[in-house]
Amino acid sequence: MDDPRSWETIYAEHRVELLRYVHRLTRDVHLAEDVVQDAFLRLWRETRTVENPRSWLYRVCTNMVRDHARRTATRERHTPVADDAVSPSPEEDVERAESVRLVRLALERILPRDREALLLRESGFRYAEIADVIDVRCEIVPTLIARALKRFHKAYLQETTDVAP
Amino acid sequence: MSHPSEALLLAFADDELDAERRREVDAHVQVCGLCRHALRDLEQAMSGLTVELALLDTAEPAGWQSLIIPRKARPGRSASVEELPAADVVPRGRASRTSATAHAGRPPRTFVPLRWAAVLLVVVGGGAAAMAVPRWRDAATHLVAPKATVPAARAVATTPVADVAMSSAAVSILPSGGEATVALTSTAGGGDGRVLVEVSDRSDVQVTVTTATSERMTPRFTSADGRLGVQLAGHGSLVRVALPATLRLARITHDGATIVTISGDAINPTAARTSGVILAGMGQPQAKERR
Repeated sequence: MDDPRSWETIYAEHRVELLRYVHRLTRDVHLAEDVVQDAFLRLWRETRTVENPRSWLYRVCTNMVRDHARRTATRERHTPVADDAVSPSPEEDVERAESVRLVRLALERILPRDREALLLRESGFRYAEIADVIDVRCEIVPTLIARALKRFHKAYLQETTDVAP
Repeated sequence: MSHPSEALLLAFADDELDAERRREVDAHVQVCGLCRHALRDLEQAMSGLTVELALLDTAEPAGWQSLIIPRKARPGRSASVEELPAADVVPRGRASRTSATAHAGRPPRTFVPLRWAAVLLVVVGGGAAAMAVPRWRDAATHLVAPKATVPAARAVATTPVADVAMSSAAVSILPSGGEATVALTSTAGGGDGRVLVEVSDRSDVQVTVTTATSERMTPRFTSADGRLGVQLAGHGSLVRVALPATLRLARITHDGATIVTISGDAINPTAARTSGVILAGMGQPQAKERR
């Protein structure tokens, strides 16, 4: 790479948001670490041809998450995925941990592509950028997001109702 | 216009419509209580989603946020540089080896598995490579035992220094052993120089300098947050940088010119030729095989 400093700047500016995005998609801290690291490694090699590194990184991460989901689909049908990183040992954390669990369950009810669009919007992307990242026509992006939003809140409400005493 | 779809209302709320379409939706919402209510619900749902998704972030590892390298945020940090004493100096008349270890950067990440360890060898200054051979061999012969400042599992230096330096000038990656070694050959014209190691994570980074012995050539170490510098005197010094496995981002420069950058599992020698260092046999950066 010609300019390591600029690469470092990209790394510094986008690493955490990418980790957050992948973590929200996968609820797996370690997978998020691996995916984001791989994405930066690829950027390292391809940066001369990358015009918009942020979108490029998100696209690479999204594709890697999709690939991982395909690879593990069969296994996960038989093996429930354990929630990561939530260890509500202090009493005051129990409620928060339960809320986190409900949000995760609600997110899982959304179709993968809709979920990507929703989370990319939350990351501040415009519709055209979202379309570019997840490889859909720009015109359908608001439809995906609106559908994802509806499913999310329906599922969240349902989960909340199910656990209510 | 007829009632806009939910997607159209969302695009309106997100300011994603062109001016004409926006005016249409705006005019409709002004007169249609149903759509005004739907728009408000949509906006509240999006706001609620932001809050709910933020809950997920509370389950993130605490170290994520702190891994950002605030290079731009702290432009004046060089003012806080402190000088470190040379840690162990062999008596005059032998090759000397001095080293320093510094914590550099951010808090440790406890959840990252040990992936690799890297040892970089940077030969700085000196005359032609052929002339430097005896010096390197001599220096390696007289190396004193390294200081136990870095856990052995993290600072891997199993290959004899002189052999590595002379066997190849190319980058070699040894994924099976979890090590990566980079050897750089010296060029003519080098002299006093400064090697700077910058890292992103809080880690013990050990820099060892081997020179022909003389008081005049004793290197000086400096340390600041995220940086460990070596001011070399004279030429023919061998600078060895041992980096821990958990390090995510590092850069080594010589007199301001980048010679090696490291990211995660990849070590990337830079093509730049500096006054006293040349990296030969460069190719594409090589990612290490995962263990």
